[in-house]
This record gives sequence, structure tokens and C-alpha cells, in this order.
Amino acid sequence: MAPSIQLDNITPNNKKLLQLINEVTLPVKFSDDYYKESSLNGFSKLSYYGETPVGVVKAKLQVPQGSSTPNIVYIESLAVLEPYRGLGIGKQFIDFIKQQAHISYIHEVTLHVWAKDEKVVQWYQKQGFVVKEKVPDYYKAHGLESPDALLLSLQV
Amino acid sequence: MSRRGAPIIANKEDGTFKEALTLFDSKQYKKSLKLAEQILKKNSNYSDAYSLKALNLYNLKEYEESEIYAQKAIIKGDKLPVTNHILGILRRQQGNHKQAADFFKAALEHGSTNNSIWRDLAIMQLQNRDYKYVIQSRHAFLESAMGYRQNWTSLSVAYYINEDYDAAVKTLIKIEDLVKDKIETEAEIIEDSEVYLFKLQALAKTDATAALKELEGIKTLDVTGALELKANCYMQLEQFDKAQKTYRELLKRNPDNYQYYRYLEAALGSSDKSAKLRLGLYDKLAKFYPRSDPPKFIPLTFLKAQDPEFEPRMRSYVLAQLKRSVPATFQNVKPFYKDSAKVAIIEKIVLQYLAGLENSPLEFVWTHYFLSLHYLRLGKLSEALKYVDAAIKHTPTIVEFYLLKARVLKHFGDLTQSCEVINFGRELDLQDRFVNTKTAKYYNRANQVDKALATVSMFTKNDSSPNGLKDLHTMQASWFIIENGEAFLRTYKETKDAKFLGLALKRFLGIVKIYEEFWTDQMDFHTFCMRKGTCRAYINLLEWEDTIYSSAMYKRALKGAVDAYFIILNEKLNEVEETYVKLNKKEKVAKMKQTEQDKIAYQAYTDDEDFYGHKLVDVLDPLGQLQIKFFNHLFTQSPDSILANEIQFQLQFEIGKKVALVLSALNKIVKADPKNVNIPYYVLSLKNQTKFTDSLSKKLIEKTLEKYELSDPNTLIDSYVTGGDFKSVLGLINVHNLDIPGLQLKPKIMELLGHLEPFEQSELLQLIK
Repeated sequence: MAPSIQLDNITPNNKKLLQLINEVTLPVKFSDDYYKESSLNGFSKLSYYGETPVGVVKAKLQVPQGSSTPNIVYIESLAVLEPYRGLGIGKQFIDFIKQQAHISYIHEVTLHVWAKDEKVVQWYQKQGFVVKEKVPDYYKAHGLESPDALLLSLQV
Repeated sequence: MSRRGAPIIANKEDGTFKEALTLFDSKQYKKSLKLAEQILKKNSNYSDAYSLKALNLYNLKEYEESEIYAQKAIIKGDKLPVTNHILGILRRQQGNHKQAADFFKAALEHGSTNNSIWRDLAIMQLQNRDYKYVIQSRHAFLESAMGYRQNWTSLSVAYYINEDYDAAVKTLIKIEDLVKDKIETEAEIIEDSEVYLFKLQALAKTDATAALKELEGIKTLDVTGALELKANCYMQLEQFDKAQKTYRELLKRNPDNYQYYRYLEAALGSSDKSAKLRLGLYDKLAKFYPRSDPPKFIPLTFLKAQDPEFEPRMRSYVLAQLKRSVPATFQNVKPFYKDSAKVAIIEKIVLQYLAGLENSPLEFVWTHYFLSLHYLRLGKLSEALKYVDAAIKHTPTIVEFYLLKARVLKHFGDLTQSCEVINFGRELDLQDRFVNTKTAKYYNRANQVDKALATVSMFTKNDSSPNGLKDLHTMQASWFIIENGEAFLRTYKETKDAKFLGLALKRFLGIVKIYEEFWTDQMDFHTFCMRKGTCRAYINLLEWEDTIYSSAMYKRALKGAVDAYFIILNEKLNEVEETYVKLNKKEKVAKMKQTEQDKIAYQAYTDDEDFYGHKLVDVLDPLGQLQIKFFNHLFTQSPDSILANEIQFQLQFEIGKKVALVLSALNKIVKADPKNVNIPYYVLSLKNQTKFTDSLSKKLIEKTLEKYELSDPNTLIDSYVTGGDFKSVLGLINVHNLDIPGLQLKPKIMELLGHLEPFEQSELLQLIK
């Protein structure tokens, strides 16, 4: 019997997992402030494969300039440990984010992705994301070679 | 009532005294004390008032003054019942149960009509293990209050512990008819059921047939207990067929109880039969109880590794668990690791299994985890590290992996890194208390006591204290206290700062206190269990209490204390309390500040002014202190145990007064453990001793040593130190440290050290003089 895949909250007691999974998975390194942030809100989730934490997503509402109501859910980071990919964990994250957008009456989900990592870009496209624009040098501060990013967008 | 030396007007004082007693009973100690003093002012011979004054003072925490008046009471009233009774109560409060019993006895001998003293006396006698006399006391009290079932039960238990089972049964039969129609409440029903089973347990000791007759169709709340007793009776009567049927009934109730399988085989007489026959039995049982472990596990214990049945069965046993990613899989097969042929098969099975796991991530990592533990057990540390590292790299979110890696690093001797790794694991799940305590333990191992305390304090009840040290002592968290004490002792050895020696002793004594509490906690049960009728549990409790001082934890504290007191004896310690007046003003301020900080960090008991343990270190007779505070408990409770006699040898040899005690200790060690690796050390210490100089002692030693081939110490050593394990090398080092001319052991020690794990090596290297 395959283990179940379930989402659970990030709490002060397990928030170290967010940093750990991100750091071993993503090409960029976030600042300590990113993890210190008390914004471990309803948009952030851990994914458990059986009893083992294997993935994590962190997202927030984005308010456009000159407005006071958010119109975008922005995924700040989404990571699944390498051996646990292809099991539907990432898809469950996206479904969860879509659902959250729906609850907040928001119709767009966006995120940045490293342009060079075609595999990842393809995966998002498979989930229905389209390239909205190319952002040159987005990852320059992180010291990545060819630091361009793609802004991906999903209409929900 | 006539009082010796009491004037005629005593009556008025009697009235006052009664009033004082009432006040004492309602805990108004000050008022009661005042009245007692009033009486004594008028009549300085009124010894009852002296004893009451002493008792009140004791309860007002005026311990020294209390003892002065207690002594006066003893002199003036040694033949008076009330004086003796009150003194008995005082001694009981002080925890001196031997003297309490003496006073209670004296009170009764001198005509006290207060029958409750018999009960108090019985409790003291039970506490003192004066079982012989309990019967009389329980009997006397029963006669004064025959209407209570618990008094009959008490007497019956008194007979039971004196192995007079007949009388135990007869006592209970007498009361059975009387209570028959009066059992109504739930408590009474439980009591009745328990006492009845106790009666049958007693009956079974002398007449199993009669017990079986009553067990037939018995109505009881403890069905399992009744069945176990029944099976036991059948075994006694050698009615094996009925016995095995009963064990099968028990198995139906709990097919996970290993004991039942063993008993079943005893009843079937199959334990020494062929493996094939036994396999047949267990395969049948496994079909009945497919979810139970024992029928699958036990065949693996009796099948030889070469048996063609072994490998496939082991495969299905191990893999069934690995497939479910059971973390404890290794724990479950660990018992087979004494047999290297079985180990080889397990290794082969698991490595084969691992090869096909590329696409099953959880099975993959947990199999790595298993293999790491496997290699750790075999002492192949680099392999162990390789596998656990791979597991962490694969799935870094599983806390168990960090625990294991820390453990492997510990075996490598790298305690600092070990702490870092385990603490990283702890941070992944701050709610996990198990990991928290393990981390605290590792910090203690690395002598980082402050971090250890800070970590464990996240889970303790801290109330107004800055950390959980006091709570850990109240909650009897001996695992922490002992690790903390051993850390302090190591720190002393590194820094030679006597402060840490005191702290170490303080912690070791903390363990002793916990075990003394275990012992005094019995007090309530001598009454409580009789009232509840839970005699079978009570008997088990008494038996357990008789072994507490040989528990592993107590022994650890004792060993630490031996180490510490011998240091006090042999080393010149830096001044424990620097003379305060010698310091200048600035130094004084700094010192006070330091003391305040230390108080926060180290004070284990509220209001303990000697939190450094200065008073424990600053003693004139360290060995005497060692005996009184630590050693006597074990030596009294298990006088023949190996550790007790090893310490006794060391102690009496050092004291150097009674050679008979030294030799008797050696004889007991040889008797209990003829291959003890320390025997060469003991023998050679005696041969080369200079402590005992009188001719009789020398003769006695000579006579004892005749048994040992001493023309060449090397032969003696070689005949005992055969293995290359930790204990053997330690034994060799002890001999080496005797510094016997012409004996060159260092090369051999160094060679053997090479086979030990790094952390064992460094521990032993420190001991070589």
C-alpha cells in the first residue's frame, strides 16, 4: 500500500523543515529573514508522504501598486525532495494554492522560476502555467550563473 | 494511673497533657509546645511532656533542640508507655524505623492499652524486614478489631511472607463466611476478588489439587491471573496435557506474550526436541495468530544458521518489516547478533533487498538506516557512518537519522560534533520530547552541562525557577541527574577544580535520595494494599523493593561516588571554599556575583545552601562517608553481588584494618564470577601489599593466595585476561597501575587498545599511570 500524501500546517515547532527542504532542493538561498518571518500563514504548507515531511510550499497575497485589495497569489517557494518527485506531491500543492485563491476571490497565481531549469519550467507548464514575462538578472543577487528568471502565471 | 515520681496533683497536668496531644494532632505545634512546657515548669519529671516537646520541636524544624528533649524523655521515661509511644512516632517521622519499632515495642511491653500501636509496630517491622515478628503484631491488632476484613488480610499476608501458607489460607477462610453476604459496593467486589485469588495463590503453594478445585468455575475479575495460576497448578501436578490446554487459552487472550509460548513448550516438553517438530508447532500457532510476532520470531532463535529453513524464514521476517519501513526492525533482530553465522545471513538478505529499491524512497532510506545500525553493532564505524550519511542526504527530514548519526559519531569519540548533529535533528521537531531528552544527554556526555540543562528545561515545569533542575529532581528524572553527575566528575578530572567534584557528588547523592524515596514510599502500602485487598501486587512490591539498590541506575551512582571519594582521599584538592576574608573588595563582589549565577545554574533543591556540595567534599573520612551515604545500601541488600564485593575489596584494602573483610570480598567475587578479569589485580594487590603488617594478617593472606599460581604474575594474568574487550583492558590497566617491578604490561595494553572503539580508547588511556 502506497503511503498517503497529506498537507499539514507549518508551526513554530516544525518551521525548521521549511528551511531545510528549501535549502537542499532549490538553487537559490533565502535570507534568514525569509524563515524568521512570522507569516507562516494559511498559504504555507508541509507535505507528508506517510509520516515523512518531503515537500513545502510558501505563498502570499500580492497587492498591486495603488490598490488595497490583493489580486494575485504569489508562490514564494515550492520544493519537493528529489526522491519524492513524480508522486503527485507538487500537484497537490498547486491544487491547494488554487483552492486558496478561489476562497480569496483571486484569479491569478504567479511565481518566479529559474529560466535555465527547463525541467522545472516544463513541469509548471504541465500544471497550466504560462510564461508571462522574462525577468533578466532576477537571480543575480543569489549568484546564479545565467541569472534570468521567468515569471509564470496561472489563471484560475 | 500511677506515675513514677509524679506528685499527687498530677491529674491537673494529665488534663493539660491531653489538651496538648489534641493540639498536636491538629498540627498546632506551637500551642502544643507551649502547653508541654507549662507542664514541665510545674513538674520537671513528666517525661511524656518531654517527648511531646521533642516531637513538636521536630515538627517546627528545631531539630537539634528536639533531640535534646528526646534524650531527656528517654532517660526519664524509659519504662512509660506514652513516652515510648511518642518517641516512636518521633523516630518514625525521622525515618529511623528501627528505633521507632523499638519504642513502639517498649510502649506495649510497659502496659500501653493503645492497640493501634500494634499496627504501627507491624508497619515498622515490615519496613525493617523483621518479618518474623510481624505475625504477632498483626495478630494482636486483629484481636482488638476483628470486624474489619483488612485486619484478617493483614495477618494472612504476614503468614504468607513467612512462608506459612497453611496459616495464611486458614486465616482467610475464617473471614470468608463472615463477609459472604456483605459484599455490595464496587470496591468491596474488587477487594473480594483480589483476596480470593491471593488465598488460592497461597493454597497452590501447599496443595495444588485443592487450589485447582476452587479455580474450577471461579468467578473473578482477573481472569488472566486465575488462568495463570491454574496453569501453574497443573504444571506442579505434572498434568501436562491440561497445562498446555490452559496455556493455549492464555495465548488466545494475548498471543503477543513471549512467556506463554515458553510455558507452552515446557508443558509440551518440546523445548529439547528437534527443530522440525518445534517448527511444526510454531507454524500452526502462526496460522492462528498471523499478526503476532512471537510465533515467527521464536523459530529463528532455535533454528541453526545452517538449517535450510533459516534463511527463507529470516528473509520473510526482516523484509516484512523493512517493507513497511518499521524503524525498530533492527531492534527486533538484534538478539541474533550473538551468532555471527546468522549475522552474515541477515547482512546478505538486506544488501540484496537494498539493490532493488531505487524507486521506493521510504523503503530505501529505512533500509540504509537498518544497515547503519547493523554496521554500528559490528563495530564497523566507517560503514555505519556511510549508510546513515546516505540516508540523510536522501531524506534529510527524518529525525531518527540524526539521532543515529550522532550515536555513530559518539563511537568515533567526536562528542562535540555528535552534539551538533543531534541538536540539528532536535530543531526539526521541537515537540519531540524523546529527541529533546536525548540531546540533553549528549550535551552532558560532551560535558556541556549548561546546554544540557537549557535543552531539557524546554520540557520541564519551571515555575519560578530559571531552569528545570529542581523539577528534574522532584520528578526523579534519574537519567538526567546521573548524566549530569558524571559530566561534573569528568569536568573535575579535566580542570582539577574541586567545585565540580562537589557538584558530581551532589548529583550522585540525588540518585541515592530517589532510591531512598522508593524505599520509604512502601510505608503507605503496608496499610493501603491490605485495605484494597491487592495482596498479590503487594507481595511483588516487597520483592521488587528488595532489589532496588542493585538496579543499574543505583550502581552507576555508586560507581561515580567511589571514584569521587577515592579522589578526595588521594588527591590534594584546591581549597573548596576560598577564604572570603583574603579577597579584596573587587574580588569579593565578583565572587558573590559568581555564586549567585552558580546558584541559578546548579541549585537542585529549594533552599539548599550547600548547592555546590562543599560539605560532601570537605570531609575527614571520605571512605566512611562513601559507606554510609552510598555503599551500605547495596552491601546490605545484596551482600553477595559482584559489584558490592569489588567495592568492598577496594574499600577494606584501602582502610587496611580488617584483612578478613578483604579476603571474604575476594572469595565472594571468585565464587560469583570465577572468570572475573580483575582477579589478577586483586591477587597481585594482596601479594604486594604493605598495609597489613601483623603476622596473623600476613598468614591469612598467604593462605588465600596459595590457590593462585604466583611464581610468574604473567601466567596469572593470562589465565584470566583472555579477551580483548573493554573490561579486560581495564583489568590490565589496574594491574599495570600497581607498578609491580619486572612486570611489563604496557605493550600488551597498547596492542589490545587498538581493537577497541576510539571513545573507549581515550577513556582507558586516561587511566594509565
